[in-house]
Amino acid sequence: MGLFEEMQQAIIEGKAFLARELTQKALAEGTKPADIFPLVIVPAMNEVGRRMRDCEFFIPEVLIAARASRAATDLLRPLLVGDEAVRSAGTVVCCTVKGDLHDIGKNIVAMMLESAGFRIIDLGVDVAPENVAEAVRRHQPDLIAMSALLTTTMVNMKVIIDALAAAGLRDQVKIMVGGAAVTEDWARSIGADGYGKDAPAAVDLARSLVAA
Amino acid sequence: MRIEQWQLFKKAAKLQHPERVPLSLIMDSPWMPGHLGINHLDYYFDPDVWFESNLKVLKEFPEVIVFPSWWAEYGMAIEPSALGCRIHFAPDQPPGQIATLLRLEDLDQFPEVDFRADGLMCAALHRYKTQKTRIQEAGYTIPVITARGPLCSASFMRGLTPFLMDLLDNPEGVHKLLTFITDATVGWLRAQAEVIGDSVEGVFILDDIPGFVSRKHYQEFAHPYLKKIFASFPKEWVKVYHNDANIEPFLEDLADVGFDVLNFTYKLDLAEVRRRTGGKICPMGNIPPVEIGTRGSPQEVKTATLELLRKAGRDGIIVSVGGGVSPGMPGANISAMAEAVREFNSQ
Repeated sequence: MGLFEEMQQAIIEGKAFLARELTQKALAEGTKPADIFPLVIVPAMNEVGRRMRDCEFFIPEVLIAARASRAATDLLRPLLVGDEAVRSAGTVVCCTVKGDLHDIGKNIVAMMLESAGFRIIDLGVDVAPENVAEAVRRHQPDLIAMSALLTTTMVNMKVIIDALAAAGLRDQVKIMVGGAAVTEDWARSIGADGYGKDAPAAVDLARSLVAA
Repeated sequence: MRIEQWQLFKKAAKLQHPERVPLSLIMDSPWMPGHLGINHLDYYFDPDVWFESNLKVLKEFPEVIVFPSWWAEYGMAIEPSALGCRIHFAPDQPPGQIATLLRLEDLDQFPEVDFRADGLMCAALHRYKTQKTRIQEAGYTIPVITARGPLCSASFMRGLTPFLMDLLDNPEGVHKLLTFITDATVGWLRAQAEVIGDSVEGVFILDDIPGFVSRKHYQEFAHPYLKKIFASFPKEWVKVYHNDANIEPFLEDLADVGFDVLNFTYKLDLAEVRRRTGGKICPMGNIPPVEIGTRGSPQEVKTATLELLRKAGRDGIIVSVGGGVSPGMPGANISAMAEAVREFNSQ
């Protein structure tokens, strides 16, 4: 098995220390930091997404794979220079909506998006509409990714969308939603631009929304 | 609920051919204060508001078996409050829980849970103690004790993301945590039964977190602990499990947990749930709580309920939504469900 394959395997299996060690080894052997993203990180996380779609992986396996991916990318990002440093698939503001303290869906999507080359602005959980609006003004994101785990809190997704519209910001940004209680119909009815039924679907959706 | 409603629920739960199909809804604090136009804090902390609110709902929907009946609850906060979490209240929504067990190893420093005195357990027991006579005098009963399940409580203590990673990083530590929580949960349930008294004949466990993991992890980390909780109470009691997350990977295993009734997601087909649990479990569901229950018209709710009944037949079904009643579900839609069930029962 070549070094890049070993690195991919370490990420897929969630071995964060090994992923970091192998990344250091690749760098020491002269691999350009920017090359490691398309050759290792992106294919590894694509495979994680495939396994989740095929029910080979569930949330715990995805979480530790994303953590391993981050162990590698944390090492790489400071080494990127010039155009490499600023090149990204897009900027995404992530949050769990007001009233909801569940971070799981948001974290997985944020980690998978980050591995896919997006720049992440993570606002955390229990996020008020005005904080989302402020983040749009400040970071000029391409996308907002909102999560709600509960049927009790998903209604606040619409509150955020309405608040962005009222602030004149809605047209500046695409909005995708997801979470255990959320459905495609719900996403459509509240005026979101898309619904990700799971983290891999969210990554595909983010790519298509940014490209549109 | 009234005693005769409990008798009907029990018959359906035990698959004993009830004389009519029951309609039962989990109507608790995510929904009730909003429906009544009151403040969540008043609902939680003013015993008169709590009593009058529940009474009002019972009178508004007399055909609905409100489950678990006169539930002294504080959102999902009771168990985590006694397990060391910080509880964050707000006037317009159920409280949130903030994890404080930052390292699994710190569990060794945790004191035993005192089910009668710790956190909101004390408050809930006091509520039952001071209100039960009033409830009985109003013509109602409290037949069910209730707790969050072990994985749900563990995810509050650790935070959901760290807890799910713990399953792979430190399985031994997770077993230690789940053993601690399971023992506390059984103790907490017994304390409720002791305070409420002889009317108790049922136990209700809510735990969605098993729906986040693989079948292998379910079998290792959820099944034995859920089974232990249900086995801690008499066999003849009615045992109800709520999980409206993705239970599809381990549906077959659920038949062995030891509960009678399963309240599950609308995303699963009723016939599949029956088939894969070997016909041993009474399904409680599964009208979509948001798309139909909250956002549908009364006519859509009625149509969906009649369609469910047509598929389900008369035996072995408790009509409900696939989960709890969602915030904002209009009273007219609840009445439409009741109308559909009444119509079906009269045929």
